[in-house]
Amino acid sequence: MKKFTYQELSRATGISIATISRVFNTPDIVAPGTRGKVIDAIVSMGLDPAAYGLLPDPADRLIIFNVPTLRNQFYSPIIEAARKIAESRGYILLINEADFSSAGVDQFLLLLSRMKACGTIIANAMTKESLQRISASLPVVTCCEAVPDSGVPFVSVDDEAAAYNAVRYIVSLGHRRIAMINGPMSFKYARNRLEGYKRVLEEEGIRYRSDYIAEIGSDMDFEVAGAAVMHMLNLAEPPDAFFCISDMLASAAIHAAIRRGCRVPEDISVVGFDNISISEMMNPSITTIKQPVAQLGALAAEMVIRMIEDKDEPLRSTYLGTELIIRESTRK
Amino acid sequence: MRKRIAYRNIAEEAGISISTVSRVISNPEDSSHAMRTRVIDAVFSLGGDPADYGLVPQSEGRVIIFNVPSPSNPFYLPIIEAARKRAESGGYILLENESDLSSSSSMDRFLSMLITTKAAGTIIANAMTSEGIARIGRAVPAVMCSESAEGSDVPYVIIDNAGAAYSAVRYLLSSGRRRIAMLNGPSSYMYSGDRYSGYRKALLEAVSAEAGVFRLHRVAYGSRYGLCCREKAS
Repeated sequence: MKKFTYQELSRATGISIATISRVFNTPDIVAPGTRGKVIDAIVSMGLDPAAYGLLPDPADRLIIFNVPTLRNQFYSPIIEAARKIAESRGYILLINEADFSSAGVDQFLLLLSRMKACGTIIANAMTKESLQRISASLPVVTCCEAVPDSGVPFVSVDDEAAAYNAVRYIVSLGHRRIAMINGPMSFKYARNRLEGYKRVLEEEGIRYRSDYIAEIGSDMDFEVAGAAVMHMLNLAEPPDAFFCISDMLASAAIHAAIRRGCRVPEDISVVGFDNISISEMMNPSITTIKQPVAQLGALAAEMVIRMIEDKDEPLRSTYLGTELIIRESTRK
Repeated sequence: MRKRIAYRNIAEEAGISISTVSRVISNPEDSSHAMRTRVIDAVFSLGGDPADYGLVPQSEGRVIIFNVPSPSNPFYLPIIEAARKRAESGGYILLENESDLSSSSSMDRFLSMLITTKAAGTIIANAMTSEGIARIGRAVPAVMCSESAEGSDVPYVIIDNAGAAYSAVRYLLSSGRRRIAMLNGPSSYMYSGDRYSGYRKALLEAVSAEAGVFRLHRVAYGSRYGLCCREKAS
């Protein structure tokens, strides 16, 4: 496959043949500048460095993907999809875990500048100000979360419609005492899913009860969720269905219900969200909302790369659709 | 993208005098941490980069790369979180990378990334050959986490896999079970061989014949569920 000799490269770059051999065979001990010269020489011969195992110098090609917590498995396939796209375009994708709600974005801005990141994808709940501070420094897109009036492009899902569909399904099974185990209201998904839930209640003439709503932190603590469900099951009028905004919370709900002596789904129906692996593994398996995780990650990466490579191109934000997956945790 | 900001503006933003700003910027090590923070925050608020003013000490903000194999097992998530917290308290940034490190091109990319990001060190959770981890160890300080490489002197942190498996199987035996199957992971992982030894040791102590071992290449729930339904163990 080689269409050049080491001698030619040595002549073209002024680098010794021994070093050129090292660039190809033991690249880890070659300085990036030296490798860069060899890559340039190959390019000027009209050849593709990638074909010879020489990737473009990854300097200035780092994208940081930030998540609020690594404990939520929901992000894993999104990150993987983003990484595949980034890699195919010659970028490195590294993942940072930072919760901006308490600490703010100063540390993150410092990190981006230290790492000389050329773009960032953020999955956190953001305020308009924080997001705009970041976007003043470098290309940024948000993934899953969105702040439409910030001017920052996003790829997200229609959370309101997804929740509406889930709760509509629960009502269709005959339930009217439906609780919601939600996430923190600082997240757009939490606010929008609550709206979807409320819309069904209104349409059905079901009274909204604040004691049927729990707000669990973004790390989806199993015990906290279980305690919230247990508390609701101890009410004088307990719910007979739980809509949970994560399969992790749905698992906790099922556990709590069973510990309380209830049968799932015969006595209590439970619906989760995200379609992460536990939704299949749980017994009973969890009826859930499947999110287009591969598209979320891939689109986010494509969008930020487009911003990096063409700063003037306007990007269209996207709301993706979701799908209800019916399993064993809901009454037949 | 990064503007040059006048000291006057920094002073106003930080609520301090121009001469103080000048002093902090020329001698950041001699200034109090509080004063330096005020100037750093002011620079950020004005859309600048404190690094341009030499305000970020070398020892702060260095990065450690934690690598997991791809696709990644949720098992690693709390480990990375704990590592990150500890790194942060030591003044380091910890970023996660997912790379299988099994092909020479993925190794090249990984090493090149370590160089470009000027990583201070790396933690590797993958199964590695001793040559592979040695290559990485020559580039930056490296340790392995939850795996070790046979024949390598790269430091590692692992659990006692054999002991753990032994306890688990002893427990099953103690409840009267005798036909105990093992669903193991890929043999490229050290944990796989070690857990098998523990399992085998417990069985040989209790029964004379070995139970069947199913060797799986990927710990993928869906496909193996069918296998388990067909084969009945006790």
